[in-house]
Amino acid sequence: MTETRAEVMLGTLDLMVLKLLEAGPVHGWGLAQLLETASDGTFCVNQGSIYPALQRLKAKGLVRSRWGVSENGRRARYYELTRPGLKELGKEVANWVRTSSAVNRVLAFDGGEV
Amino acid sequence: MAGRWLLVLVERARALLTPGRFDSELDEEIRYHIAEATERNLRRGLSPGEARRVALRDFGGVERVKDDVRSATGIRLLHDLVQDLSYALRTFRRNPGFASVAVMTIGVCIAANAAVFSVVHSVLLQPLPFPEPDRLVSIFNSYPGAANPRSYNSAPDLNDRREAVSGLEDVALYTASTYSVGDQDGSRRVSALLVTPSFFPVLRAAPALGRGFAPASEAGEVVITHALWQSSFDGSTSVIGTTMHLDGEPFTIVGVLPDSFRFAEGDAQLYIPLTFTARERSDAARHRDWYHMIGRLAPGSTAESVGDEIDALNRARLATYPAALRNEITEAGFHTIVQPYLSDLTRSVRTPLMLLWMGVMLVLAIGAANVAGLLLVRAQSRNAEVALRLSLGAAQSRVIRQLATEGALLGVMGCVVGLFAAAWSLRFLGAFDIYGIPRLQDATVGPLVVLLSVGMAVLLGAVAGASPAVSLVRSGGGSFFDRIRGNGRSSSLQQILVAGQIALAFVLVISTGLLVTSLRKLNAVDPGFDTVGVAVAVVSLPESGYPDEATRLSVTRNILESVAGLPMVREVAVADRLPFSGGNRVPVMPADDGLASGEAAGVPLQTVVSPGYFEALSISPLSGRGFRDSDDQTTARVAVIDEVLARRYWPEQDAVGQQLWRGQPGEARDPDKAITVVGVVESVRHSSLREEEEIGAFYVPLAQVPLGYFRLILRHDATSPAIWPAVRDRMAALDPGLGVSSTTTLEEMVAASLVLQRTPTQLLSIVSLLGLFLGAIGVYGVMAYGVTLRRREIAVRVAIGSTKRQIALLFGRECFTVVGAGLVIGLLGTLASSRLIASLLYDTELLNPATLAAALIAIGTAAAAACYFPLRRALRVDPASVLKSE
Repeated sequence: MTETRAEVMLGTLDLMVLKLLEAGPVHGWGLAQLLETASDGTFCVNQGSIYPALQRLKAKGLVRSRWGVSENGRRARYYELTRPGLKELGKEVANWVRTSSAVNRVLAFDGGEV
Repeated sequence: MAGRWLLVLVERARALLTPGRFDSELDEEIRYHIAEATERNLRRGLSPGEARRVALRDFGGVERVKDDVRSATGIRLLHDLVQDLSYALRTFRRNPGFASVAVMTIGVCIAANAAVFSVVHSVLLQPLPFPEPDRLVSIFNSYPGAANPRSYNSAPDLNDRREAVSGLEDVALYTASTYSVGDQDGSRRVSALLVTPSFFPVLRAAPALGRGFAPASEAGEVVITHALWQSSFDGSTSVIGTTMHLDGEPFTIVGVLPDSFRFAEGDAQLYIPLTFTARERSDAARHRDWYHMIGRLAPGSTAESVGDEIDALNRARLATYPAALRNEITEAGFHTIVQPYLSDLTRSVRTPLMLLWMGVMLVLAIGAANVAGLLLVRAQSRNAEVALRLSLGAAQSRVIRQLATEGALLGVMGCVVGLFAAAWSLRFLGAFDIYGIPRLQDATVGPLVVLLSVGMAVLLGAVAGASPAVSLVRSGGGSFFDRIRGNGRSSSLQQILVAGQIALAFVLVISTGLLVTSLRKLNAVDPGFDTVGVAVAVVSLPESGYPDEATRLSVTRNILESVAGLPMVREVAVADRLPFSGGNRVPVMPADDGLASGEAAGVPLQTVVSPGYFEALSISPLSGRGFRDSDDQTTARVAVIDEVLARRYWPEQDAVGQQLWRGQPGEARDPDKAITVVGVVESVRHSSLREEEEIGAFYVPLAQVPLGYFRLILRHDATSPAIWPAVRDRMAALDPGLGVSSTTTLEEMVAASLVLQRTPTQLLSIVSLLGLFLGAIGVYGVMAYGVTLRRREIAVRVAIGSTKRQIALLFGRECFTVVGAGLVIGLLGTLASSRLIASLLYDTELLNPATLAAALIAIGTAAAAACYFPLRRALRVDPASVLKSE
C-alpha cells in the first residue's frame, strides 16, 4: 500500500510544483518554502523530493532551468514554466478538480436509496 | 512542439554526455538549498550545529535525492551500467584466476565458432559474385545404370539445350586445362578454362578491358584475368590485341577480366574459346560427355522444370538412335540433372562443414555450461555479499542485472580474444591448400561474423551470469543468516549443467570416433599399387624443340634411360596420368561381339604408359606380359587390361590374345584398329579409396601414343628429396630446355584424395578434445564446489561414524548418476544427429561397439578424473576442524 500512496503523492507533487512555478521563475529552496507556506505546512514531504519532481518535469519539457543569482547574492538554479508547461498546468488543474470533486462526492456518499 | 522535444533531447544528451557536470551542478544546487535552510534555522535561534542538522533532516537523504534526480533524467541505467562495469572489473582484478579461466573458455569457444562460421559463410552461404546468382544452374548427364550417376555433357548437348530448352536463358560448356606460358626459359604452367563463347554472357560477366568472345570466336583468342594481367603485363592497357604464346602457339589477347571476377572452380588465369569441329557437333558425338555445363535459368523457370524439359528432349533424341545404342543408353538409365550451381559446387563439402559447425556449436554449449558453472560456484561464494545487498534494500532486479553485467563483460572480453584468435587462425587456411573446397581462401572474419560472435558472447555471458543469480535471489527466501551460510539449493542446477556437459562431450567424442574409425578403414584400403617410395613430377616437352611424335618419343626414351642410370633410382616410367589424378574414360568392347544385345560397352580409364609403369607402381601382373619398347607404331596395336575388364568380357577364358575395339556397339569399325590384349594386371583404385564402382582399366603403350606432356614416375631407395636435383641435371644434360615441375609423391597424391575425409576428422578431433577438456574442467569445478559446500555435512557424517567407504560411495553414486544421465542423453543426441554423420562414414556402423566403447572410456575417464579429486578432498575432511570453524 505504501507504494500506491507514494505514487499519488508524486503525481500531486508535480502538479503543485507546476502551479507554484506559474507565478514566475523560482529556485528549489524558494519552491520548498512556497510549498510549506501555501499548504499551511500540511505536507510534510522531504524538501529534497522537490528536486526529482523538477527533474521529471524538465525531462518532459514542461519546465526549464537556468543559473541565476539569488536575493542574497548566491548562485542558484532557477526553474520556470515553458509554454507546453503552462498548457499542461491548465489541463492538469482541470483534471485534478474533476477527480478530487468526484472523490469528495464518493466520500460524502451516505448510502442513499438505490 | 518541436521546440519542446528538442529541449528535452538537448537536456538528456547533456546529462548523458557530461555526467560529471550534471552531478556537480546538482551538488551545487543542493548545497545552496542546505545553506539557505541552515541560515533560516539560525535566524530561528537554533545553534549552528543544530541548524545544519535540522536542515539536512528536512531535506531528507541527500544521496537518495541525487539518485532519484538521476533516475528522473533517464541516465540512471547508464549510470548503473558504468557502476556495474567498474565493479565487475574490480572483482575480476581481485580474482584474476577466475576471470582469466572464464575469458579463455569463452575466447576458445568464440574463436572456434568464428573461424568455422567464416569458412561456412565464405564457402556455402556467400552468393556467387555474379548478377542474379540464384539463376545459375549446373547441368550434367547421369547414367546410374552404368554406374556413372554423375557424368558430364557432350558438345551436341550444347546446341540442343541452347535452342530447344525454353527454361534456359543461355548455357555454356567449359573444361579445365593447363598451358605453358612464355618462351623456353621462363615457361610455366598456367591453369586455363576452355569455354564456349556463351560462358561470360551466362555469368553476366564482361571483361573490364577489351571484349569477351564473339559467338563465332575461333581458337587463337584469349581472355586473361586481372591477376595475370598485373603479373605478366604490368597492367598495361595496350595489352589488348597483342600476342601471347601458349604451348608455343600464338594467341591474341582480346580481353582482361575485372579484378572482382572469380569463377569459383579452380584458379584459371586464361579463358580460351572452346570450339568444336562439325564432327564433334554431330550426333555421333552424343554421350561423349567431356564438358561441364553451366546455364542461366530464364525468369520464372526452376531447376526442376528445366530438368523435365531437357529429359523430354533427351527422349525425343533417343528415338532417333540406332536400336543397339538406344537400348544401351536406356539401360544405363540416362537422364539429365539440373541443380542450383552453388549447392552443386559445394555438394561434397557441405556435410563435413556442417558437421564441423555442429561440433564447434557443441563446444560453445559446453563452454557456456562451463562458464555458468563457474559463475554459479562464485555466485554461491558471494552469497553473503548478495544477501547483504538484498538486506540493505537493493532491488532483486538490480542484483541480477549486476551479475548479468559481469557475465556479459566476461563474454565481451572472451569475444575479443576469440575474434583475434579466429582471424589469426584463418591466415593458416592458405597453408591447408585444400583444393576441391571452392572459395575457402576467401574466408575472413567479416562484419557478419563479428556481429554474430559478439551477440553470442554477450548472450552467453549474460545468461551464464544471470541464471545462477536468479536462483540465488530466489533461494533468498530464508533469513539473512541462512543465505550467508549457503544452503546449496542450486545443486540441482549444477547437476543439470554437469549432465548437459557430459552429454554434449559424448556427442562430440563419438562423432569424432566414428570419423576416425572410418578414416582408418579408408587408409587400410589396398589401392592395388605400392605408394611407398614413389616420386612423381610433371614433364612438359617444349613445343618448339619436339614438334612431332617421333621426336617426342625419342626424347622421352632418352629421359627414361638417363634417369634410370641414377644410383638411387630402381624403376622409372612415364604415363599420361596416374591413379588419383583423374583421366579419360574410353568405351571399349570385345571384337568378337561377345556383348549380349543391349549390353553397354565398358568405359574403362585409359592410361598411356611406358614399359616400366607396372613395375614402378608395383601393380601385379596376372597373365601375359607388360609392354616392350618394340610395341610401337610399326607393330600391331596392343593393350594391357585389368582384371575387372578381363572378367567382364572373358569370364571363362584367358583374356590374353583376345581383341578389343574402341567405341560403342553398332558403330562402324576399321579392322586395322583392332587392339590385341597382351597382358592382364590387377585392378587398382583409380580416383578414390572409397570408390566401390569397378570401372576397369585399359593401358596402351607410350610408343603407340607418344606424349608431349606426361608424368615422370620414379621408384627409389632413398626417401631423400634430393632425387629431383639429380634428375634435373640428367635432363638438362640432354637438353637445357627440359625440366620437371609439380614434384610430389604418390603417397601425397593418395593422401590428397582423402583430404575431404581427413581434414574434417582432424579438425573435429581438435574440437572434441577441446570439448572434452572444457567439459572435464566444468565437471571438476562443479563437483569440487559441491564438496566444499557440503563439508559440514561430511564432517557430521564422519563424526557420527560414517566410514570413508560410505562417504566415497555417497559421492561416487552421485557422480555416477549425473555422468550416467549425461551419457544416456548424449547417446540419444548422437542418434538424433546420425543422419548428418552417416553419409561421411565408410564401412563404419553408427553404433559399432569399438567406437562406442572408446567414447565411453574417454568420457568415463575424464569424468572419473574430474570427480576423483573432489572426492579425495571429501575424504580428507577433518570433522573436528570443520565443525569448529562453522
